[in-house]
Amino acid sequence: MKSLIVENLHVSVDDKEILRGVNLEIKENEVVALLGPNGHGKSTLLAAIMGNPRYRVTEGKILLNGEDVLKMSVDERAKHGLFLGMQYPSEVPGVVNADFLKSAINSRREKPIGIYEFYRQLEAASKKMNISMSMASRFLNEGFSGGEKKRNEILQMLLLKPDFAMLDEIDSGLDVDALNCVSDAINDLKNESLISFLVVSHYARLYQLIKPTRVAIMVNGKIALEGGAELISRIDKDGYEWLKYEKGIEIQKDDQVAMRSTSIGSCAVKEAIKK
Amino acid sequence: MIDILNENLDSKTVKKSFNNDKLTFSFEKNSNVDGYLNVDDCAQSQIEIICDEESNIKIVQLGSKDANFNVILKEKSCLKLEICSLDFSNKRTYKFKLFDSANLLCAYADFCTGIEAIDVLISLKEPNARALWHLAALAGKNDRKTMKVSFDHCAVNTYSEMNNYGVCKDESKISFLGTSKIENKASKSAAHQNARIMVFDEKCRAEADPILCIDENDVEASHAAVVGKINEEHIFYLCSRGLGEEEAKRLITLGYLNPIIAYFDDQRIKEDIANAIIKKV
Repeated sequence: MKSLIVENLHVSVDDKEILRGVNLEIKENEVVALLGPNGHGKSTLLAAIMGNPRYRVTEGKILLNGEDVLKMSVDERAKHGLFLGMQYPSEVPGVVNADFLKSAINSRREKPIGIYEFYRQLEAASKKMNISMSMASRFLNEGFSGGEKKRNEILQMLLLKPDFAMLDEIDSGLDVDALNCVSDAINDLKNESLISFLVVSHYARLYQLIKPTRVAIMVNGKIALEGGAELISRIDKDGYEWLKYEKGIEIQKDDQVAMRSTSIGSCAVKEAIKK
Repeated sequence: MIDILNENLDSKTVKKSFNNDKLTFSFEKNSNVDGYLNVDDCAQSQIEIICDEESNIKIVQLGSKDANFNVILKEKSCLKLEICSLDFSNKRTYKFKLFDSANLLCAYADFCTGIEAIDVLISLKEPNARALWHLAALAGKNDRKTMKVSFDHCAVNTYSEMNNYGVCKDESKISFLGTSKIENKASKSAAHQNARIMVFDEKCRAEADPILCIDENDVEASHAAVVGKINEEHIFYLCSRGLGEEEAKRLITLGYLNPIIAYFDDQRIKEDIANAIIKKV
């Protein structure tokens, strides 16, 4: 049985500690929803698991099927089955989408994929994501709309077929049709394989569509509460203030200050560490 | 594609004249030529190219020899100059004079080795003249490459655009210099400069210094200069999909340099440039 285990994870960015002892386990074929106020470390957790060099692990463990993820380079993590669908995918000028996708597929195969087979898979995934095949010949994410970038992230997930997919606000900026398209892709992949998901979103709509098996709430750089889908409904209705009165979880004030100075559409952690 | 130096062409198309110092090609009015010139085959180091009115000329320039070019584009003429420098570096000057509604497109694939100095001056002498310059250069080991590309807008409604892309490795040095000058009374003109150099190693050096001198109010001008390492986020993004760091860097570098290939029409030359890039990257 495959598993991703995070134990007492502490992560700093530019010497500012963001994660302060995260414990989380994701089992095979689970869909875990990760919620929490802005700037409390959700994106940091995903980036640290994937190995973004800006995020420095100072303490703790990440185990993937019992193997130490922290000893793996970023590409090794990907080859071991981790995938991160990013909130703000990089625009890489000059790198043709199709060339990149072929290299990514080949990175986990002993024998390079044949050109016919590659285009067959790409066409099927593009059709599923309602993406024009002409996007394959454009530069990677360059000039893509916000929605196109998110669809392209999911298209990559469909082609790479990871064991553990982490999706960071994959629904932000999507219109209703695109959201349905993305959630259908997630559900189909879940039903066709034993893939597990760790999904960050602020909106109940995506979670209604993909039906998480478990919910974790991150506050102050820790998983403060775990439970079922009822937590999503409660947060959607009442926000996070009730955590203080009903669960005794204080939402730290210095992060709130960082929140106030952060504009909509920007990552609160990235803004906070700039200060 | 014909060898414009050695093949006999119709005198109604081109007149060639030679003397000790200078080689001149005069392309006749309304002529249409698709050819190449290997400077290594030229006895002279001064090369003059004259494109007469409404001529439509394409020249692929090959070879490594030092040379000085004087190029004149007369009224409504059009020149596409594809410069392919893949072997040894050289010292060259290019002086272009563009007259009424003349159009110049110059693509420079610079993947040679050694010490190189290229000095280019494009004068837009009369209204509606347009010039587009695109260069991609890669320097490695102890290469020294200096490219000075300047534009002089002398008349109304003239347009210039420069795009210089460089990759600097090992202990090499790349300098992109140049000035876009818009003179008084050259109103409605536009000048755009874009110089970008990607540095790979601690010991390599790069400078990009685009300058705008504007002496007229009613104009459009922009310049951008970027010198820096490969974007770490780009590497992370590619690695997060399973590409090794070296492969990610290679793909990003190829992506940075490969667009120059699109300017070249001949399939064999395209392949030669692609192979030169892959070999050096």
